[in-house]
Amino acid sequence: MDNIIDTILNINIWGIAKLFVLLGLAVYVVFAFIVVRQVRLMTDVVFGILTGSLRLVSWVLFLFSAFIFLFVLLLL
Amino acid sequence: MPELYSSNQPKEEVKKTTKREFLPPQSGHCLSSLLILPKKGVHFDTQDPEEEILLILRRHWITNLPWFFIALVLFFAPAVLTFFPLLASFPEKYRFVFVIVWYLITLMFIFEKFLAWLFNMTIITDERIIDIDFVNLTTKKISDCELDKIQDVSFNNSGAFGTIFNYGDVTVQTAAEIVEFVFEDIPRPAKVAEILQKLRTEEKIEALEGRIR
Repeated sequence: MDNIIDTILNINIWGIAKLFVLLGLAVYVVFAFIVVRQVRLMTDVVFGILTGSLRLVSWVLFLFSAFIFLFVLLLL
Repeated sequence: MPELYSSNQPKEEVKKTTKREFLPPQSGHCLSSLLILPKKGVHFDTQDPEEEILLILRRHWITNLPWFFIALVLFFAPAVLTFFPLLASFPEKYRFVFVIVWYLITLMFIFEKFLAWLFNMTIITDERIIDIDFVNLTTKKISDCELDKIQDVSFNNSGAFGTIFNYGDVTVQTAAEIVEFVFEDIPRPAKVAEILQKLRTEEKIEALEGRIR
């Protein structure tokens, strides 16, 4: 019983917080990749409306979110 | 029989163009809500080679104001929250990460809303109406209807903003599989309805004369 209480008391709350933050960011990176695919799909359906710019922005968002994921992994 | 003369130059393809007096002059750019006779670079995936895009319609830009204000609030929220130290008990680096994640979410919110506005559009060509809807991240819905299948076109301006900025809904009743197309919050609905009616008449005349493609 004491062991269980000790284990509970010794849980690093910031370690759990880090885990959740990273999990959230991982979901965000996946979402950003879906947006890249979505923009590709949209610009294939209607071509000629800001095609290059939108694809560029979607890739920048995806790469930036991946960079933030790695940055947070090292920072926390 | 020997060939006396043959021109090596390829025959130039003469493209038939119909002059439409009822169409307003070319106007708008790629971010306009009403794009009349867009430049040649714009095309869609099911477009026939001879098909000409006459109008591209999307919701009036003023309809973006609600999400634009939400984006503004999201943008300034971290600065305002410094006066209310809700995260004061968190370590410094966690507070920093919170701000980064907040702005990431804000950026994605703005980009998604902008994309939804930009690509939910109606294209009117000299042959048909194409309604393109991106329902969510993974679902697109494209419906089309030939102009000669149009039975009735009606429009309405409603609300204070609709009256001030001249936008509203155009409803097209058709004899096609999809019986009704509703173009919501588009600019100059009366003009668009008039153009659609004239295009339908033009198409019916072409059908009578046997010129239909």
